[in-house]
Amino acid sequence: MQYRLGLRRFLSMRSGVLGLVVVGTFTLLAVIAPWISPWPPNTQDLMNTLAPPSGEHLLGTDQLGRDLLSRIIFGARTSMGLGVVVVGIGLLAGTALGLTAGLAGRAVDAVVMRSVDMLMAFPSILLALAIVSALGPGLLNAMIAIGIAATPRFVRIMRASVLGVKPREFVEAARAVGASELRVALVHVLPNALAPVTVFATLLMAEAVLTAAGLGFLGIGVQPPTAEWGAMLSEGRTYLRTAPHVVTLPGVAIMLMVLGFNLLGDGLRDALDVRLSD
Amino acid sequence: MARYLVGRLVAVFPVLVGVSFIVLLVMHLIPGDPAVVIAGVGASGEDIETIRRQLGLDRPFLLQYITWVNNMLRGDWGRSAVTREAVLPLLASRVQYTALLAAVGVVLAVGAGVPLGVLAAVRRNQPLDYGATMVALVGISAPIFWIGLVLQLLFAVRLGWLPTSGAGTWRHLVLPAIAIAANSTAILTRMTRSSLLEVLGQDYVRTAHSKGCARRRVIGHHALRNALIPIVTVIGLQFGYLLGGAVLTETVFVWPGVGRLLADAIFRRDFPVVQGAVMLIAVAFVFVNLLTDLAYAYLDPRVRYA
Amino acid sequence: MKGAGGALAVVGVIAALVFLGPGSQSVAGPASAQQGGTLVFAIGIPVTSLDPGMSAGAPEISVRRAIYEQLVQLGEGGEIRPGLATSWQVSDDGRVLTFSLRRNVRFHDGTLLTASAVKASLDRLLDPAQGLPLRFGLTWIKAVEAVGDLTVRISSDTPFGPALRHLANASASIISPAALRQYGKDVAWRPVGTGPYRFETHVPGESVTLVRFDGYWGGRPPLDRIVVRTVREDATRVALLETGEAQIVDNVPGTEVPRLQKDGRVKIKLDASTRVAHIGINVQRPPFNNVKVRQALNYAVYRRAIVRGVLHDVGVPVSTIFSPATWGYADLGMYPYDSNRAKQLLAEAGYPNGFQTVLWTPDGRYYMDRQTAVAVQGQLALVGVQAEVRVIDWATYLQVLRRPFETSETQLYLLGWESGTGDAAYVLDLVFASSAWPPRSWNTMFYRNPEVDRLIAAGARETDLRKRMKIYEDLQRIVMTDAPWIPLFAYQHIAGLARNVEGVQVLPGEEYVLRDVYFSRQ
Repeated sequence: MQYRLGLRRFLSMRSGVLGLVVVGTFTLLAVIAPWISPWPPNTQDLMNTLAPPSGEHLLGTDQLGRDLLSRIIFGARTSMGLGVVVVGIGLLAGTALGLTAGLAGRAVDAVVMRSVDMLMAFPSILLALAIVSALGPGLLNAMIAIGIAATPRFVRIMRASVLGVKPREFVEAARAVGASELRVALVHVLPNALAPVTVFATLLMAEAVLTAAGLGFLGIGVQPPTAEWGAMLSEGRTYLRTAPHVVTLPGVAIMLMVLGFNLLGDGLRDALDVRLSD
Repeated sequence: MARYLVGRLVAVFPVLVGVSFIVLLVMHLIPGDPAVVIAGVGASGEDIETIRRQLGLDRPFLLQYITWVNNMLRGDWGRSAVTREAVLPLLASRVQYTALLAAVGVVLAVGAGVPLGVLAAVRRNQPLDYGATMVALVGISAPIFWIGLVLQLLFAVRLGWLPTSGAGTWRHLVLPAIAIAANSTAILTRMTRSSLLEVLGQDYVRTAHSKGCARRRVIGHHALRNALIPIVTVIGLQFGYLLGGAVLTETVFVWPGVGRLLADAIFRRDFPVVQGAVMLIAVAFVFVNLLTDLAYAYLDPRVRYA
Repeated sequence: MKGAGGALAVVGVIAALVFLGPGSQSVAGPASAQQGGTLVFAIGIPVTSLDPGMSAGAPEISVRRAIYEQLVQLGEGGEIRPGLATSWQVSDDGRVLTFSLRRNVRFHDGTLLTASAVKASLDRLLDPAQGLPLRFGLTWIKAVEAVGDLTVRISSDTPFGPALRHLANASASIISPAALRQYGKDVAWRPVGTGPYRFETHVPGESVTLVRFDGYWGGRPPLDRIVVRTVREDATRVALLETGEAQIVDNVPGTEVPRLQKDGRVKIKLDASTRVAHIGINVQRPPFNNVKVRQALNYAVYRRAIVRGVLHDVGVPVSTIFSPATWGYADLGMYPYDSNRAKQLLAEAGYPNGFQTVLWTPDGRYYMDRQTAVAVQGQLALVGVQAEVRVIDWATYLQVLRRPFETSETQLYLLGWESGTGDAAYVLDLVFASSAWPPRSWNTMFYRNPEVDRLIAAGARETDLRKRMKIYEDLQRIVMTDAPWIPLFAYQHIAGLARNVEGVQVLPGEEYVLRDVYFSRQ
């Protein structure tokens, strides 16, 4: 069976377990943020800005004198949600379109892939401006904009995998015994073509967070003063030389999040993949 | 194959028409127009109207689009609504810089990322794998402005080896190329590692291995070649996006590429420049994607289009 | 996980290399003037046009000021000095200004400066059909006449107090009539003036190069060449200064000032700016149509804390509509920080528990604009006013603020008005006159007070400076009692200079005068 989750195998892989631990920890932090944060995330102290770590503020304060540790804890809520939703949009849409284009070929492939070319050439800043003026400034709309902008890459990667899997013997064999096209696509091709998009998806978590922050000045995305790692990082750039902790700590948080999802992704893939077992 | 190629080349036109129409439509629908931006803070409402008329913004949208297409086909890409500079020479002066930076960036990323990914796969769960993972993680999580500014502080301000910014000599190219390659290198490392692990687990590789083929040959020839399809895809994607311009790298290093030009033009609603830049970028994507697709067929003869 | 630990270690090593200790190589020695050299001037925005009539940011106008000159000049302290005119008389009724032009002044193309050249330049700017946005500063002019070769007469319907200041503005630059005839609108990139440096080339969006004009009436200019480079990233501009790749750097971030002041290679030049950061209030919209609410908001903001925390002390708290650098400013001492008074006023207005509102801000248009808005948001929250900060991109901002009253969605918005002339009348006409409601002009508060209108007119007409100052003091008291703005602070302009750069002047409008800049020998 292609889809049976090898739980024992998953648990036997150190990296996958570690990934689960990291992602789990961040998720837990996000959930219990209000109870464990030493300070409210948006309380300002303009007389104590850019303070280095101290007993009062364990990781120091940011440019408005807000407690960095609390903002990083609260940031887990927005940043992780943002990353997961954006990557989810790209992954779902990209996988579906890539699978269709790769398997159907000919006219369908041409139409899907030329549309993808168009979307790739469409400037993402303009896409963001269009979405903010059509749907408003919210975070969800930013996620939609970034998710749409990320979709073409998922489509191309998925289609490439499908093109590589399609001519293999077991696909031919499935067709030969009369499996329907849908069954061939979902049962035989998809699981064997998923690995590259999965890896790419975990890597794109970071880009999603950083891109959302980069669009902040257009008024789309996380609205100030909401704590969000990418926004903290990009707002902190001015202080790179005078108060490097303000920009470095959110960066480390993003890195750990990507690490967690990446390892988890690897672990899940290995556990799902029968061919890797002996 | 020839028919496929011709078909793909002809398909450039619907892509260009589609993109240019949607771009102009969106520019038309979002708030703000070049007249407001040109007039700036303080200008009177009457003057804004005069500028709007001078730019032809008072005409119906479809007419504006048709005029633009018409002029474009005759080689007239128009003038910037804001600076009045001719669009075509403006783009021409920048395309070379973007192409250079993108090409060097991709070469660096492939040169570093693919070997690193191969090593990580071969030495799976060993210190080398962890090391490669670590480098990749920093490359992915660090925003390009952070990498750029740190490089600048290190190599220009503190060590004085390289110029801070600008373009002209190869020395100007080093830092932006590294900054722009960092992210692609990281992605390629991880993608190469996973693709290679994938094929290393496949039956025929193990067969080849058990037949006594040297391990190095198995990895170098059989495995890598099959793992290359997703890797080539990612290389093509990264190259395409770099050809589309790298706004942040260009900003930090004052690199005169297309990305910054396009971003500025969007902020100013300077649609002749936006349209021109988008046309170039669309052509770049179409060709890079075509090359990628051709590469699949070359790498794996079983992949067939038509 | 070794990966994460290792990555942290890498970050640490890089941080140590980059951040530890200043790389100071201080240079010392007696200074003496040195002829020649190339000056690199790094600014944060691209130069979009060198047409004096086109709107532009202060750095861009600085470039125009090196190429073009005006009838009179503004000094660093806001005083009026002779420019292309050596002297001028004001008629008894105050409606006619007569200028005597400097003799033997040549444009860069060799044309001689004459009265008709002055007329041609000013008429072009004033012609509505030209669509030159900076026309708005000179609309008080009724006619420009050339009386003989070197005499120009400028008349208006009523006396206009700040007339000379407007004529000192870069928009009133005198352009070579030959160039105007030859290039028309293209004069934007073929600028021909009488200034000390003439235009050589430009790379669109990247740089403008000026070279010494040997025929300059004021003698041979000190520098051979000025290269104006657009470098948007603040940190990159600072790095350019530190490596010596640029000699003047515009808009150094306030946080970098203490560090750079200790660096022997550079100098920091601080100048008062006329720009006032403020929160504008749509005074027609409930709950802001209640004056007590507007006053409450003014008591609720803690200006000194904002200047301290957000600007790192590089700015001046103000509680009136002008900067101390603007002629006409009066220190009224209104609205000290008093959150209790704010709460009390809100309660009297019927909002004991505050209310919800939206605060618009641009991001990156003014120094620390978004951070300022967030700081204000935090302070308003302390008195119960929950403001949602909404960042809006600049082109959209210009449009949504200027919607007519019927369709306006404005509640609170952040903006930074400056006086291009250094005079109070500039902002009053544009922003506080009831005739200036959008879409006509920039009264984006939809403020209307007949008494204020009367005083604006009286102030503009008055030519006796003492009386004029009194009018503006009264006017500020009335406006700030009505409180259509929450003034926050006046900016300080920060320029970074290489140690051997001398003679830099920065006008109250944040514009540089590069004419007298030279390199001293170290």
